[in-house]
Amino acid sequence: MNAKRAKLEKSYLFFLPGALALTIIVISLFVFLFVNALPAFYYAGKYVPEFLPAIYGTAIVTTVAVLLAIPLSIGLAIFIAELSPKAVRDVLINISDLMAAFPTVVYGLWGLTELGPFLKSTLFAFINRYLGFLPVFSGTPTGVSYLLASMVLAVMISPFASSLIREIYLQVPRSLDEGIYALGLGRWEVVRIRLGFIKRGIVGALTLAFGRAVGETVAVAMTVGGVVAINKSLLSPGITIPAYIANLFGEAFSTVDVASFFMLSLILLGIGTAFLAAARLFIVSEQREVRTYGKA
Amino acid sequence: MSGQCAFRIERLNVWLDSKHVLKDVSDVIIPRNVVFSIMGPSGSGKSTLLKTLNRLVETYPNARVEGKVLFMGEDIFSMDPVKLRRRVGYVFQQPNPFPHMSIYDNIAYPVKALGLAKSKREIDDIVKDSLTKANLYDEVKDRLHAKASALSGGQQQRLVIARALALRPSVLLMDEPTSMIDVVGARKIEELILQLKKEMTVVVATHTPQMARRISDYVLFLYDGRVVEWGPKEVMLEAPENDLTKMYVAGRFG
Amino acid sequence: MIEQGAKFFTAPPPTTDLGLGGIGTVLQGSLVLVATALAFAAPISVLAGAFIAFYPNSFTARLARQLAEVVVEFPTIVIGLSVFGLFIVDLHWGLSALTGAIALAVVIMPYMTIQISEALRVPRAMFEESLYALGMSRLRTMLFVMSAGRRGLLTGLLIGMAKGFGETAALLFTITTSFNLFFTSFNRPVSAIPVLIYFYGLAPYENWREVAWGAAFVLTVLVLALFSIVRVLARGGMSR
Repeated sequence: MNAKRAKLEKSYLFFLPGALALTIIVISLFVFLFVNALPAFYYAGKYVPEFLPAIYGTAIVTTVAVLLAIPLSIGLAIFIAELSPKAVRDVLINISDLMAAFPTVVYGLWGLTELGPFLKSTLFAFINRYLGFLPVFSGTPTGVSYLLASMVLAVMISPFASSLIREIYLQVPRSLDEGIYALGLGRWEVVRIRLGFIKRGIVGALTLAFGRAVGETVAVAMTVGGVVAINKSLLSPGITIPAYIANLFGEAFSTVDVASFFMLSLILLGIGTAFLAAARLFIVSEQREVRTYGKA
Repeated sequence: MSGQCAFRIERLNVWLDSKHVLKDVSDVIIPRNVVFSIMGPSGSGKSTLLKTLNRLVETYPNARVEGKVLFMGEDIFSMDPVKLRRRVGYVFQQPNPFPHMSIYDNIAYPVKALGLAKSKREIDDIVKDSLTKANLYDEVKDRLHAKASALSGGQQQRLVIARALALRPSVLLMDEPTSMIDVVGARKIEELILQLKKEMTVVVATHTPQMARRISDYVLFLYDGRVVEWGPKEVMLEAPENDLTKMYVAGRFG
Repeated sequence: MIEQGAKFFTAPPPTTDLGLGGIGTVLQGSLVLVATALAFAAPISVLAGAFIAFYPNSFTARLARQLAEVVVEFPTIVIGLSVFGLFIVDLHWGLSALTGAIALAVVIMPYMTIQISEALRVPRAMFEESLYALGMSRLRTMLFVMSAGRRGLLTGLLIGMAKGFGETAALLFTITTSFNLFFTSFNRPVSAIPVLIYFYGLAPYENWREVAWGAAFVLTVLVLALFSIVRVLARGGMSR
């Protein structure tokens, strides 16, 4: 049968509208964003300085969050893959997947009302007292801050990153393991070498987490403090791009101002997409390495 | 007698996933400082036999091993398997170096992790020494810190051999070490095997009688998990007793 | 930890400013929003997902899939912003339940589409050839595969629903921030659980924050329930 005739079949036409609708909606979304952001580009010089605290905040919060997530996600992945007995393993995987899909507001609420005050009087006070001479930890700790937002964000992205890492980890060819055992080395060395083997995959997973974390609005907005300023200390409040949009959009209502928010959205999108694309490159290169191992 | 041979195997039976892979391997003596070939078609159990000798087979989840194997007179099953593996090295069919680590680190890492040397100079010496013994040093001496994945298949296999040699084993087990390598590389490895036997015992699994002829002192013919016969090379390859062996050597099957 | 003041509410009384009240309005609002959003998104997702699964090589399918994957990663606030911009500002619809539902629909649609297309891949591979060999028409084959894969389809829809309940950012601009009203018609503003949690959680009043926790508890239970159903479905495997 020819492909051309197949296209005019009933079934094709039946399902086609769905795909078309999706495509149209998404494309119009993009177009709309660009079109509305255009007016702001003329005044870019005026708006960018206003957005700087938000850009700064996003960079800081996301970076610290990913740094915190590194031990969390790798640790969890190894724990699930190597250390826990079978029964526990499934439970952990389920819990981890659940956490990854959980409504973000609840994380935000928890961070704001439980974790924040708790940390303020314990860990943050501790850091402030002993490391307060460093500008990055100066100032009195408040209930909301960059650091708090980073911690909540780290908890949120770790389950996802961890399951990615776990998958890649389990794909390492067995011949690598056997070579290590044959040398008379033990399980720990196997773990260490496997981790080294999947280095690129780990970087990819974390970059992916970074790209997604950049757009996280609610939990961060609730825990970062909404203060539009660039603050040196991690212990003071600040603002990130999505939180900025969330908090301040209500006040900006003239057409030009609205456009600036769209421009900001595009900036956010750009950052996120760049990281996601980079992440994909890492992971692809990693997969290639796994597949060609051991072949001359 | 037992003090003089590398391995002595009695009544060895191995099951993998309830499949009886090695059946009653008995009266096998592997002398020291020889090249001992285990010859047989694919699936006859050669790898399993080798992996039993260094107790690697026990890392498979559904493996069962029964019988007696003596290494230099000691029962391997009462030994600490980790210690056994430092005295009995293993080279796999597919080269499996640590691809993300440098050539240097491929050897240095196990040496360090096993506590065999501590100072940088000691480790440097061991790396150079092992690479030389594996006939690889000249080819890589200028790029010791390049990644192992940059080497050709034959070079990677020699790197793996060097890595095993760094532990100074008294026996080296090799599982079809040349079947995945190009002809030139394979030839180099065969030459290497002949050199190595001066210092240690080499047990090689192979499926071609031609290779057995080229490198061995002794040959054991394994078929379907059973020892058909074994003996000195000349006897085995020119005038074997068993008809099956005759046919295999003549290339009529397998 | 999650259930701070959770005893007081399971239902109807509307929220007030200083007392405790309940979360009736938001509960109803969320239900309406999610239901409407699903009404929009589900058909599109199912059709699009099926299209991608059955004609993976067509240009449209590949394009749709790429776009879906890109949008899935979008910060949802941007989606909310766009819907706001388009419907509320440009078309002057004003805040209403409809715009909120549309925003939610756009958020969950790509995710459900991808889920569904993945869920159909396996049944398709398993059954397609044998069905054609029996002489079934293409349409019938596809309907059969979809029926065989209905667990996967349902899973996709349920997860979409769960996401709809928990989605906050997209709704921030498209529905009201005053939580006193019950839902009347589609043209009127409405409120939703996660938005309540957001605003009340940030409020300086202690009792408001307790309300937020109560709402969070309800939301958590809801989401857990949905995911448990998904888990049960997954265990059942495929139906023939």
